[in-house]
Amino acid sequence: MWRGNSWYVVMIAIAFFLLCMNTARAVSVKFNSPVFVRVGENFTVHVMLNDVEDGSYDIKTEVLGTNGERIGRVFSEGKWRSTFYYVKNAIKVPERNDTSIKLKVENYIGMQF
Amino acid sequence: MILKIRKTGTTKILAEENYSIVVEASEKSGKTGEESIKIDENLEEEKKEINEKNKHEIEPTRRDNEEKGKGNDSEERKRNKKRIVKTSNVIKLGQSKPSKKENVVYEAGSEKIKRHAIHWFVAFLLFVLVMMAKRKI
Repeated sequence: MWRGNSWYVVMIAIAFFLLCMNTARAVSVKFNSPVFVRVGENFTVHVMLNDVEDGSYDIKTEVLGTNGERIGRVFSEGKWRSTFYYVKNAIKVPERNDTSIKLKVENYIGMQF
Repeated sequence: MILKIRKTGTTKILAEENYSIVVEASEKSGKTGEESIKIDENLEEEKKEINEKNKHEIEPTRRDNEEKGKGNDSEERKRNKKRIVKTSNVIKLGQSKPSKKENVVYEAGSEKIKRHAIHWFVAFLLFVLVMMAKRKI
């Protein structure tokens, strides 16, 4: 009786382990950003993806103010857009696994201390 | 700053991470790159100078208040504090306060999740062992 149950336990353990390893397959991101930025001045962030499938990836970099309002602008498709939008086809693996995104913060009057 | 990554044509977010940046008010517009770098180099000194100036501005006010018998007036203190902050023009976003001005590199993703998965698996194994031991008893 106990032997039969122990096999169940072993099977469940193996299944759980496989499930865990499956969830462990995720994107590895390396993100390089300046610590200090100035209002109205452009800055660049660098994003590198590892352990990803081949294909095209969109990237969103939202800059939020203290009240959760969007204060950033991202240079995408030849114009400055709200950071609400993704930069489409920002990275195309395997051709390139990294990209630089141009951003700026503007019209920010809120402060947090 | 919130970073989100998704595969083109899908809505499922593959990675989402939060990062901190400090937004500072721009002093002058139309600076060349070289001038901007010089401003960055002198930024800490400028902040110190501003703080020093503010101290000088505040000290006479406190003295005046003490003379008037209002040395511990909380409203006056708040007003003085506000004055310092307005002059320094430093806006902070996020929770952590970075100490360096250089670029920071963050790494996130699979390593963190793998560690998380292993922790859960070990916890599950311990649970199974405890259950097996109980049954034997």
